[in-house]
Amino acid sequence: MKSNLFILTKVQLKTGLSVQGRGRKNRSALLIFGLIAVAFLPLIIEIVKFLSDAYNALERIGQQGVLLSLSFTISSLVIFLFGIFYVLNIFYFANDVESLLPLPLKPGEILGAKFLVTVFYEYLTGIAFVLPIVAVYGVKSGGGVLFWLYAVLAFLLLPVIPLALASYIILPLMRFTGFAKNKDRFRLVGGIFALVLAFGYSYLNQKFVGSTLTSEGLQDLFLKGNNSLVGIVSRIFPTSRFAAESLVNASNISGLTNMALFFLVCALAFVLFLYLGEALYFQGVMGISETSARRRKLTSDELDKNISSKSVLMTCLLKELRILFRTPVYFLNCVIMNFLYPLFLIFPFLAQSSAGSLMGELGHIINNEKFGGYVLVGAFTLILLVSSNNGITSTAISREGSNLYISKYIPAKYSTQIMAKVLSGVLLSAGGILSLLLISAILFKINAAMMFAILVTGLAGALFTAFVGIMIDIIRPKLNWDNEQKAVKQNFNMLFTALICLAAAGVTIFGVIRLKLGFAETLAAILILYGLLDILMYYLVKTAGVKRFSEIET
Amino acid sequence: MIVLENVSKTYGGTVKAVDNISLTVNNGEIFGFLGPNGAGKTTTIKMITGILSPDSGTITVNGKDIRKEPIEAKKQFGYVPDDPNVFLRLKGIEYLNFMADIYSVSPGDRKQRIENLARRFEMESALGDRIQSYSHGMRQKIVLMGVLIHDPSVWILDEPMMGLDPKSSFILKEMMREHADSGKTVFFSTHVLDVAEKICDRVAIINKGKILFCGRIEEMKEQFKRNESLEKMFLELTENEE
Repeated sequence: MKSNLFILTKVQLKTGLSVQGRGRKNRSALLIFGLIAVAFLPLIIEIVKFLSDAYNALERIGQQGVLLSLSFTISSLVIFLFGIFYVLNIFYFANDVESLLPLPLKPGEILGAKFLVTVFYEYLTGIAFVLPIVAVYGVKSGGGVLFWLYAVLAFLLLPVIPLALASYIILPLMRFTGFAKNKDRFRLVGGIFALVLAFGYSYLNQKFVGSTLTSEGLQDLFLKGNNSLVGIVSRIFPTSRFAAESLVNASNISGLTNMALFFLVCALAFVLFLYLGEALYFQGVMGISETSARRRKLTSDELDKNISSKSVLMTCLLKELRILFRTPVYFLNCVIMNFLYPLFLIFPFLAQSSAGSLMGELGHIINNEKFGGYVLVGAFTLILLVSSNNGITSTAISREGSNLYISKYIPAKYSTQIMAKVLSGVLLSAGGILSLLLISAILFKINAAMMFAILVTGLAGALFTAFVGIMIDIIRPKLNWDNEQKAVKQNFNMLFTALICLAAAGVTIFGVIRLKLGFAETLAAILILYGLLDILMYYLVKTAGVKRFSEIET
Repeated sequence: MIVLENVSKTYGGTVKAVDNISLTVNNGEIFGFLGPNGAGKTTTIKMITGILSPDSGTITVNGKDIRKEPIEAKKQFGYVPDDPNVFLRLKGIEYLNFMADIYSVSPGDRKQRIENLARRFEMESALGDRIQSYSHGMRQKIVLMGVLIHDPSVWILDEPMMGLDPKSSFILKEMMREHADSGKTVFFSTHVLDVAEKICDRVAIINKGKILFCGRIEEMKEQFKRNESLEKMFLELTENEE
C-alpha cells in the first residue's frame, strides 16, 4: 500500500505541476515570475511593516502569541474553503480519475495520493497567510532553532486538518446525493459562488478594515475579549491552537507536547479520512464523467431552425461564441467578467455609509465640463484594461488546442477565421462597455455626449486590445493542454496583452493630462490615435499574423 | 484525383517522417494507404489536407496545388481525421451546420442530406445533443456526416472504420464503393488488412517514410510469385526493412 501511495503521489505531482517546454521558454517563465515578484515587493514590505507594528502593540499587553494563532486559524479556514473546491476537482472531476479506476488500486491509495497532492497545492495558500506572520514573529521574538523547526512542521501539517474536514463533507455528499453530478453545471455554480464570495469580501473589507486596520484598532479588538472573530474561528479549528502554542512555547517542554498533540490530531484526521474514503469514494466517483443527454429526435421545425445558412465569417464567429459561453472555465474567465467589472468598481462605494452623498459628489465631478477630457480618458483606460484582461482574443488560438488542425483543412481563409476571433473579442468587450455605460448613466447621470464619446472611443480601444491579443496568441499559442483551465488560466499571453495595453493606456492618460486636453480634443485625439493603431494592427494581423498562423503545426 | 510528387517532411531537423514519396490516386478508385504505426501515414495525409506543410515536393488535389491555391484545393476534398473529438461543446446539428456553412452547401441540400445521413447512420435522436455526450463511434459518425454533407469529390479518410459499429462500417464501405464507382476518389488509411484486401482497387504500403509498394493487390502477388494473403505479404515487406 505504501509504495503504491507514493508512486501515485509522484505521478500526480509531476503531471499537475509539469513545466511546459525547456530552455528558452522556461527562462522567460522565470523572468515573468521575477517581474511579478518585484511588482508585489512594495505590498509585501507594507504587510511586513504592518505585522511588525502589530507585534509591538500586542507585545505591550503580552498577547503577541495571538498573531500566530490568528494566522494559523485564518489560514485553516481559507484552506478549508479552497479545500472544498480542490477536493471536488481533484478527487472527482480530474481527468485522471477514469484511468485510475480500472487499475488494481484501493480507494485509499488513490485518495491518499490525491490528498497529499492537494496538501501540496494548499502550501501556496499557506505561504500567503502563514509565512509572513511566522517570519515576523520569529525574527521579533528571537526564536531559536526549535522555533523554526516547529514552524516548518506546523507549516507542513497545517493543511491536513482543514482538508480532511472538507473531505468529510464532500465524500458523503458525493456518495449519497446527486450533487454535482453534472460537471459543467457544478463548475458554473461553483464559479458564481466564488464571485459572490469575492463581492462579500470586498464589501466587508470596505466596511471594517478602515476602522480596525491600525495597530491600536487591532489591540482594541483583542482586548475586547472572547467574542471576537478570532475566538469564533478558532473554535472551528481548535487544533490550530496546538500549532500556535508549540511555537509560542518553543523553548520549553510545552512546545514539544503541543507539537506532538498537533501531529497526533493530524494523523488521526488522515486515518479517518482514509477509512471514510475506503467506504464511500468508489460509489461516488463512478459514472462521474458521464454527460447527460436527451437523445430526442429533432422535429422538422427544429431542424429547419437549426440549419440556417450563414457566411463563413458569421459561422466561425457563432462557433467561437458558443464554445465561449458553453465552457464553464471560458465563461467565468472570459465572458462574465466583462459584464460584472463595473459592479466590482462601484461596490466599494456603495458599502460606504455615506454612499448617497459620495455618488452625488462623484457625479458632480464627472458631469463637470472642466473635467470632460479626464473623465473620458479615464473611462477609455478602464475599457482598455478590462478588455485586455478578458483573454478572449489573447487565448483564442490557444483555446483551439488539439482542434487547431480543423482550421487548417477547412476551405476558409486564415484571415477570415482569425477575424472571427477578433470579432468575438470586440463583441464581448462591447457588452462590457454597455454595462459600464448603463451603470454610470444610472449612478452618475452622465450626459448623452459623454456616453456617445465613451462608446466610440471604447470600441476603438476594444478593437485595439483584440488585435494585440490575437497577435500575441498567434505568435506563441499554448496548444498543448489536457484541460481547458490550462488554456486560459495558465496562459501568459493574457498577461502580455494586459501589460501592452496597460502601457498604451498609461501613455494615453499621460498625453491627455500633459496637454491638458478638453473633452472634444480628447475624443478626437483618442479616435485618431487608436483609429490609426487599429488600421495598423489590422494590417499586421492580415499579413504577418496570417503568415505565422499558417506556420503553426500541430 | 490526388497527385504527390517527391514529397518529404522532416520533424525536428533529423527524423524523416516522409521521405521523397510520389503517389497518384486516380479518379474512380478506392486507394488504401497501409503501413505500421509511425510509418508516416498520418503525416502524409496531413500534408495532403494542408494541416502540415511539406519541406519539399508538390501535392495537388484535382489539379489544385494545396500550397498555391489552398482554398480551392481544400474545397475538393472531405477529410475524416483519426481523432473524432471535434468541437465537443457544439451540438451534432450545430457541427453539421458549421461544416455546411464553411463549404457553402445550399439550404435545400443541407436539410435533405442531414436527414438522409442521420437516418443511415442512426443518429437522428443524437443531433440535438452536444458531441461531448457521444460515444467514440458516434463522434466518428458525426465527423463522417460532416464530410458527406458537402459531397466532396475526393474523400480522405484516416482510419475511418475505427470505433464504428458493424452496420455503420458496412454502410461506409458501401458508400465508398458507390463513390468510387461514380468516377470519384477515395483515399483512406487503415491497419485492418482484411478490409483493405476486400475493398481497395489499389494500395500503397509505406514504412519509415518510404513507399515500399504501390499497385493492385494482384500485382503484389505476382511480385511475390505466391498466392498469399495481404497480411503475410505486408508483414514480409515491412519486416525486410528492418
